[in-house]
Amino acid sequence: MYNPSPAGKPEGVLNDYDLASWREHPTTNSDRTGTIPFMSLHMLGGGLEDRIPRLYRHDAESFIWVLAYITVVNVEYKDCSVKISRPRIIDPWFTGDYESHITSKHVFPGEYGRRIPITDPHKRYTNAIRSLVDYWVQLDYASYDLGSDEPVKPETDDPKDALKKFVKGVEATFRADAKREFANVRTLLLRAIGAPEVV
Amino acid sequence: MLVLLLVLQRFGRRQWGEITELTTVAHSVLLHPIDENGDLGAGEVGVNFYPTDKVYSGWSILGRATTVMGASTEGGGGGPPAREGHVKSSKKTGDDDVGTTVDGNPKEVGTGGDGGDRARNVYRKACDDIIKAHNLILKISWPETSRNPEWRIVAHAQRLGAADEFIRGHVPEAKYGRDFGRYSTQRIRSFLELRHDERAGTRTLRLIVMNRLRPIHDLEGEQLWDAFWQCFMCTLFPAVQ
Repeated sequence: MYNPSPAGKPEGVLNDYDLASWREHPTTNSDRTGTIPFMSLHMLGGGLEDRIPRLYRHDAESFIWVLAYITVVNVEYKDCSVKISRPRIIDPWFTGDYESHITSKHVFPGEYGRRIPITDPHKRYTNAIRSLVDYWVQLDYASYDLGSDEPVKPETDDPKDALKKFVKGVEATFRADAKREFANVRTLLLRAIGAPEVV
Repeated sequence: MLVLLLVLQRFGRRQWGEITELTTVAHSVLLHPIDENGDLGAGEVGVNFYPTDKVYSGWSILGRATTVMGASTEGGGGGPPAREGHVKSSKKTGDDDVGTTVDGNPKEVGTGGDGGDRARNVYRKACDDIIKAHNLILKISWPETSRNPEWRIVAHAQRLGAADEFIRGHVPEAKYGRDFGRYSTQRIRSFLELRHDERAGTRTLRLIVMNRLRPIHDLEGEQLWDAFWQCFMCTLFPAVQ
């Protein structure tokens, strides 16, 4: 959501905290929370019953899927209402078929800006957003430990490390225009995690 | 059969599941103010709500569904209430959009040129008008009693925001709230012996009033990019502290 400020610059607002909880005081509710269309690939891979522990990086990934979604839907304005149409290729995000959902997200970066058109006002961010989603897709591919008999080690939740890897990972694939659009975000991200130097 | 009919005959409106606090003709409800610690005060404030100014309405069984609608307080609405039903809230599929119709069918992508711009301006003007009149939202939900009330989480986020630039201005404001324990699902759960733990699984009717925000998909280009990363930072900062 956003709040229009008097200065005319909208302020993003993180909303809807009714399913939030403190780590030290977990709820007795055992439902998996989160909006399924934007759920991270890792969590989707575990299914709703598998109880993969929620990590910070899962939330970071969900944010990126939201951003990508907003840039590919068509918003039609009629009188006082809006009608949102999404491309068919992301329909599986909105169904209970997790395999199709995962496949749709895996192919998404390759199709983003190609078979999945970007709405006009967001086109300048196409390359940046493609790299942002591709980072999470590649991370998910890397988690498939093909051919190894070693048990998968449980992942520790390290938000700072996850964010540093995220910044480094996306920058490695950025084109010049994407690097330019991301420059300010990069500075803020690194300052927020206390790593202002080059990653 | 006769006994059943006689039993049903004795049911009042509340026994039939009607939430009488929300079905008043005046569409007004008394709620408690929320202080900076996220606690409910003892006082009561009358909040007007507008059922036809629906912001969100998920499909679900009673006891689970969340509904959000426009609201205002006496003298705090910023002007006379707009005509009810001013903002259409139909919804076809999906559960991700607020105050919108979501259509899975692909359409021509684009803003539609000058015609699209005109339509967008009409829509924005209509939104501005109704938000001026109903500057708050009333959220009606059935959270589990084992969860922290949303007003307490919001107050915590606000406190963090007082000391941090990445959070300040990027969390909502929780103004009034109330739990209606008489609609708790505990009684039926106890009767059916669903769980021995009194709180687990029990849901209660909770009303919370917050400042009214706008959906982020209304923003375009750089404005969307900036607002998006502000939200991203806001969720990041508490995690890295």
